[in-house]
Amino acid sequence: MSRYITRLRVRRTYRLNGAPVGEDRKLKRLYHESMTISLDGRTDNATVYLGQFILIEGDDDDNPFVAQLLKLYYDDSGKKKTALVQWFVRMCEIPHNKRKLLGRDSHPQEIFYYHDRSCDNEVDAETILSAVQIEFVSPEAPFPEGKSKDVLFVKLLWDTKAFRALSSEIMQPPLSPKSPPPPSRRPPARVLPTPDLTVMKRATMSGALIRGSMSTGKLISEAESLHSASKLSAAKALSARRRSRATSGPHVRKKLDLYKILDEPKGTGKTLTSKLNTSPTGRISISIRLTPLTEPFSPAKQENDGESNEFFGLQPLEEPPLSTGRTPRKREATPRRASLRGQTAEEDNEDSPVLTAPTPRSKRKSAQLVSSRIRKQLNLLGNKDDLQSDGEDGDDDDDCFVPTKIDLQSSSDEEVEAKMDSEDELVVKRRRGSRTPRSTEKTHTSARTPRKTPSKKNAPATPRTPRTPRHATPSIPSRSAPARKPGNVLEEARARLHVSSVPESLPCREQEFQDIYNFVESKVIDGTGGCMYISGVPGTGKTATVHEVIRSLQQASEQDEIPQFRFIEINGMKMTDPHQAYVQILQKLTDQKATPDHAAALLEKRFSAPAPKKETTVLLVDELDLLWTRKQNVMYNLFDWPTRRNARLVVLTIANTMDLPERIMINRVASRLGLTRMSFQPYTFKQLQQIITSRLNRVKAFEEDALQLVSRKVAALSGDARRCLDICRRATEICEHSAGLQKGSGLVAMSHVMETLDEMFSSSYITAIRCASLQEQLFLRAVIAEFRRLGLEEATFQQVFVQHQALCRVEGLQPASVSEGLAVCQRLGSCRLLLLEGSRLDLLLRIRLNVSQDDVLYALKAD
Amino acid sequence: MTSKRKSTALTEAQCVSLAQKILRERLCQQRLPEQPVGLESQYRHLLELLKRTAVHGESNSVLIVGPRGAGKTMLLGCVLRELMNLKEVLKNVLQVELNGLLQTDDKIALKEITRQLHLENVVGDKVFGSFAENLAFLLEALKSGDKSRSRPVLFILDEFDLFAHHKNQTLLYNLLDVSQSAQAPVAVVGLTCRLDVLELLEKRVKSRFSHRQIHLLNPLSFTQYVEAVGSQLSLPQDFPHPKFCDEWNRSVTKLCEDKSVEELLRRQFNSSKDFRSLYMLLFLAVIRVSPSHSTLRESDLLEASRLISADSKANILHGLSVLELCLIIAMKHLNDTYDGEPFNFQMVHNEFTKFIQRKSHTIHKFEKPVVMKAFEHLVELEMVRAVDSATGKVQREYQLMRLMLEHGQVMEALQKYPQCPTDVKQWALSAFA
Amino acid sequence: MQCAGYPEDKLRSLADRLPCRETQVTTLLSLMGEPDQYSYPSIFIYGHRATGKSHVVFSVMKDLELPYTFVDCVECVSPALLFHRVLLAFFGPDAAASLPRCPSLSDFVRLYKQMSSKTPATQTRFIILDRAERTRDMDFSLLPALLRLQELVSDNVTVILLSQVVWEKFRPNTGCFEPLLFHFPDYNKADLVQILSRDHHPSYTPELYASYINILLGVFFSVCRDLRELRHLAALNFPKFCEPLEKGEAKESDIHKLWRNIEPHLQRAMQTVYLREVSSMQWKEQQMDEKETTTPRGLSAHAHIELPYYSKFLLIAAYLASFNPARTDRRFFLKSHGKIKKTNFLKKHEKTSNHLLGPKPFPLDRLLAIFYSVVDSRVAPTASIFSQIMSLVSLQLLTQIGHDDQLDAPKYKCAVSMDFILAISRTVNFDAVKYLYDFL
Repeated sequence: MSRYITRLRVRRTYRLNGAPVGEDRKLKRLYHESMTISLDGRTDNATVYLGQFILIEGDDDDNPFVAQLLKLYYDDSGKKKTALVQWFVRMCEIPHNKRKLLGRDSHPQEIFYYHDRSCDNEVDAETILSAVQIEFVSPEAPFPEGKSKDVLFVKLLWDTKAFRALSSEIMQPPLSPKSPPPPSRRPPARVLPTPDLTVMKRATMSGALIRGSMSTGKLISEAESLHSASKLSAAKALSARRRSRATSGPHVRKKLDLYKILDEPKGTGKTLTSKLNTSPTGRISISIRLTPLTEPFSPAKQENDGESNEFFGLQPLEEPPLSTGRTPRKREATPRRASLRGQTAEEDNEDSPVLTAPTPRSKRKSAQLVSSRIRKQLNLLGNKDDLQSDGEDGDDDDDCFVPTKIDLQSSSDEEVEAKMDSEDELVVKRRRGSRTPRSTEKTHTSARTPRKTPSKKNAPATPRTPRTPRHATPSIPSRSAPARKPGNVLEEARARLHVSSVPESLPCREQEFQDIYNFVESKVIDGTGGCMYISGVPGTGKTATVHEVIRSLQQASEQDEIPQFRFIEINGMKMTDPHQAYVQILQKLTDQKATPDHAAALLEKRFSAPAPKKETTVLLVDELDLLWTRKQNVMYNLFDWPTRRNARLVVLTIANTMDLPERIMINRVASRLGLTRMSFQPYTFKQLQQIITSRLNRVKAFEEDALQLVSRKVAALSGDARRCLDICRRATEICEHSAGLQKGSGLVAMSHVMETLDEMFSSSYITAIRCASLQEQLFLRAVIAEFRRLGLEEATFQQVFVQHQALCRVEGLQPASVSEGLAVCQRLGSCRLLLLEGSRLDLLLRIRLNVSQDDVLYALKAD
Repeated sequence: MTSKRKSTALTEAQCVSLAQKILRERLCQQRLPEQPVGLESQYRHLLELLKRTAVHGESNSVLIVGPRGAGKTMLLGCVLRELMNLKEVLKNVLQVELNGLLQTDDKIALKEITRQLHLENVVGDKVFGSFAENLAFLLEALKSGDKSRSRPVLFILDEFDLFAHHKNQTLLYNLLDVSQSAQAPVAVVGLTCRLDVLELLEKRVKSRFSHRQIHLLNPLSFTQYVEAVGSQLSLPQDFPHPKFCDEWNRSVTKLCEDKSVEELLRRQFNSSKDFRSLYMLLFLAVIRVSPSHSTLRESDLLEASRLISADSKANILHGLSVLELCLIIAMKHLNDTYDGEPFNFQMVHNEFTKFIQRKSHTIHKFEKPVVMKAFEHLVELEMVRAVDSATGKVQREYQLMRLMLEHGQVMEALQKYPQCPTDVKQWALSAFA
Repeated sequence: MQCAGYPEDKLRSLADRLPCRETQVTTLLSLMGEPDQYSYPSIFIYGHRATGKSHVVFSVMKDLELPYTFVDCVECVSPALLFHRVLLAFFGPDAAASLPRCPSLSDFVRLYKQMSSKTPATQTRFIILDRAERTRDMDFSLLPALLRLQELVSDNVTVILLSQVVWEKFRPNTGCFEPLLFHFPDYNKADLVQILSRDHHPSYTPELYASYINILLGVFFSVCRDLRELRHLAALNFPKFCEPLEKGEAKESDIHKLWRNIEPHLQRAMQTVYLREVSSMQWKEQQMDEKETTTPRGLSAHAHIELPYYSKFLLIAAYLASFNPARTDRRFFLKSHGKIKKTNFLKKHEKTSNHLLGPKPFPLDRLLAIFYSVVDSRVAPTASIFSQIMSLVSLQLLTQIGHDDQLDAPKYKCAVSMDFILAISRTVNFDAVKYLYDFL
């Protein structure tokens, strides 16, 4: 289970920059326009501006929440950074039952403008991960192809009831107001994500140099180089960062890439635009990806002759550098650069080194190192370095590239690679560890190049550990012919009386129903948490009532009287040990598989993280007492989570014993339980009667007094509704027999019920004794006689045997041998009329009666 | 006889062996009887119950309770046989047979269930996944089913009481819970010999069990018993050699009327009514039939009953050496003098030496170690038993022991004992006088 | 002996390989029935050791070439081994290999079913468990399951249990399938003679040997009826018996003379029957020089072990302390005890004799007190004394009672026998008996 070690998360530090742009007097808030997110240990910061789209840390790391940043301010206390956001929801966050409302199946990158008053749009700024790129697509337009998987598309608006088209004011691209400020106000170097001086120096200097001597045509290339420099640094930052958080999964990568994209705009306006709104380049890049890697050009050409003009439009720009005798390697590099624009749209960036390779003036060690690497790889694969670049970006978006990378390695840069490897190993483990079904998008990306697929394929398919195969669907084979429907009245009645048949309503539990309903409803409505303890002897309808409550609540939320909520049920008896509870809860919340510890950790995070939930969770814990552990941590957590500030968890616990909290819970647990308790009283006979009648509604199968008798009997015994129903069912059967035999009224009469009752409740001991063989009966007599003699309730076989033989003589039977005597004794013991010791001490084994002496005598006297 | 042998293909010997074959199968309960004897009502009840599950998909749970050898398994077997003959059932029912003796805990039981249901996490006969996963998987599977569409599952739990000893009774709870909720239709049939089985169930488990119990307590009268004997022994009519068959059956009927046979059957009947012990008796009789005497004679039955009702301890006593016998008598003395208090070897030896010094002429003195050996042999035979098994600190001589023999047994042994020295006998008698 | 379904000659050879067991063999065969017929699910054979239980069953199986497994439960420390052996014998190594690592009964039965469905039994399969009493200690469900194995695996298999303990002591508490009980009686004297005289010495006539056996049994029969032991004794003493013949002092005819010659040796041998104190080699040597060996070789001969001087006294003191009532110490060990009437010391009746009830624990100081009074020279209570006590404990001549942690008053018990002490005290010429309350 090493793969379940809780991942190490990099601590981010957040800073609201700049002077407060606005101020709210009555709230005494200072609004800021941007926030810088810096990761400790890293030198580069990311900045998010108002109006930008951001990712917000959620419970599911693969799909962080998406939102648009509206306001940034310190809350009243003045220390907690808070952000006001406009939510977007992913498909996977929309409740299952609503998903079908969207006529089509959603695009993997599609999100929806979330429009719901009930959901609080105020989040802790500290949960902001990074910015994200969002494109608004008009509802009818198709999703643009070939965009990287980080661009998210917004088509529709989701207001918890239906999908609606977006209104125009939302539609208008929101980046424009806060799009990167003109260089005049901020020199580009300053906003380069890396304050790495050399980069800046180089960037500015190269820029200056080129600007000095270049025609306008060169501007692009200048932009390129600058851009590439920025990308290089970004890449460096990336690889470095990757090292630090190798254990965290691919999704983290995705965020990183987002960082890059977030950085891009501040690179140069041009590249930004070129990236944002030139799909052709995008397509070019794709095309090149798809080519067999040996020869990147020609397919590219024939692929996109459509916009080849632009493609070639680029090339001449590269010519002059060629003429000014640069290193020949540059030449190989150039065409790739054309493709690069597109590629940068995707998350790969490690191939930027390829670009910097031709600029050996830069004395930066890292650059040299990288370039030397490139050189080697170029030497050893000729022009296969596109593949190389692939390999490069492989190891920061996909672990499955380890092999390629390894065999591409050269001795000079082992230490770097070695580190990467180790990381990637970790990644591999983790990825396989908790792969959630959602992460299928990755398989999309992997499908890009044929080379990736083989290593990719087997990742999800066959399980590493011999656990239940994923494809296995738990099911009972269905029968060839459907089950026969009940034929006559009695069968109908029997069907209705079966405990399993869900009644239209639960009679006689209105009060409890109301209480529980109100409890849950209130919690759900004001989005708080709480827990409730329900107790009562078995068969008093605890679970049934709760289910009833949930059902009607769900109906209510269907009609939008109350907000959405999520219902989860676990049962202490249906798990093999208490800690499995975590696993089951987790699996039902987000269907991930995990070990108990890991699951506990995840749940802990989920319920304590301030990241906003969009719906309340209602958790029903049945057979609570089974969750008892020595340290009681399971119970403790179950009762503690609801108390968390923004857990939004309602826990309903059910157990048989009323004083469970007092008996087995230590204080810290019991105290958390609070006072919201409820106990279900056993049914009175009236209630039982009502239950039966309500179940049978209008099916006339019982005579009135018969029902009376049953319900009175059961009420007197246990008040267990199940028992009551079972008796009735049995009664109908008996009635059927008798009807078969002699013509009586079809109804179940007193006589039948009587028969049933003594079939079910009469102690079988008496009949057993009556049916016992003569010797056995004699032995029982002997036992009693010996007890009488000793005045004890216990005797050894030897003593009893003496009596037994005496009795045999009296009865005129020939006395049994010891072996026979023992056989008789042990036969009685095996059906528990007697309680015996082990048979090894044969003569000395002690004997007790398991029946009262009177019963024995009664039974023996009778015949 | 000769004429018959000519008349048919089958020789006498073949007939005998064939008859033996048939009867053996019957008496080893390898073949189910056409109709269970004296269990008609239970048969009907169970059959209809299971039929309702199979046909209507109505979940049920039932316990078949009866002493050992009362024919629980046989009854169930017959019911299932008839049930499976119904066409609409045959294809539609899944059976899961568990035995408390084999599936000694829920982990094993779950794997077995999964295997027998051929759920999808079974490959070959390997069941994947941990205990928890298996449970979850099975429950999921059962939940996914529903009353009308999915196949009913018959869970047959032999030695039901042993399942009640599993941790938390998880398995029972879940099976019974399924039988009480709208999931895949199941019938849980438990077989047990314990009358108090319900008291073993936790109350939440108990509440989910529909308190149907089918008791197999046969109230057979002796005449029915004898009839059963007759029917069990007689050969079927389709026996290839009709003459032999008739002769045999005639002999059987004659046998049942025979006084001595009736008397010994009566004894058997008195000691226990269950059929298994009867079968054992008949088996012992039947195997004595050989070509040399081709019909069942009362002598065979008498011999058989002698074998059965022999006192095993007496047999063992018969094989003891005189020395060991003397030791037993010495212990007997001690038992009488210190009314049943435990004794140690030292005392026994002391008694023994006293006897030798005073009365004995034939038995000469033995070294103490030799006597010790004899004593240990008795311990090995478990005729003598250490009171407490804490043998650590105490010396062997001083360990407290008890005699595991009845007064009567010893006397009987002495009477039977081959050339037992008279003085030993007298010594023994002096003790029992 | 004739039984249907088995070849005559084999039965005959079987018959004369198993003397005096004809009835048992026939019964066994008839129980088994013809190979293809069903046999009773489980058979329980009991009888004394060396009454040929396992021998008969084994050779029947072997000669008639029936499919069988013979498992000695002493060898099966875990059920897994048992399962493995069975599967191996019936279905070959691959079946046995397919058992999981620690197989449960369920696994075993499942595999057995699979295999037997592949290769259905044409003949009854037999599983023979020797020393079956061990199965009681294994696994509560093992024995009941084995008893009804035929039903569980629905295969023509019979389990034969061999034991010298009676069946009643096997029956589990909730009952089980009752096996067929089958008793192997012991050999009577005639049988023993017949069997023993089979292995007669080649260089002598069978008659002579037979008569020798008669003499032998005349002596030993009362002590042991164990065939093995008797064989051993016979082999041991036969050379001595033949000695006169060797020397030519007697002819084979005059048995009486020979008897007179051998009789004392046999008497002596009887003192050590069952106890293999000396190897048969040593035994022969002893017999060679029988003149001076008048004292019977008993345990006492080997009783004394070498101990330090004080240790011996300590041991004696311990013995006295544990077998004398504390109140009598004054009388025994006070140098000048006042005039106490001997009447106080009239012994109580037998029951209270300490030598029957065994040693009593005593505190350390009492031991030391007695020790000082017993040992003649003056000894200082040095550490060496205490260490010697400890070493006696470690030699298990003394046993320490109670917890080891109680430093203040540890209690001890003397764990040696009377004659051992006598031997010890002889070496330090100290008359222990004089000081023993029981022997006043």
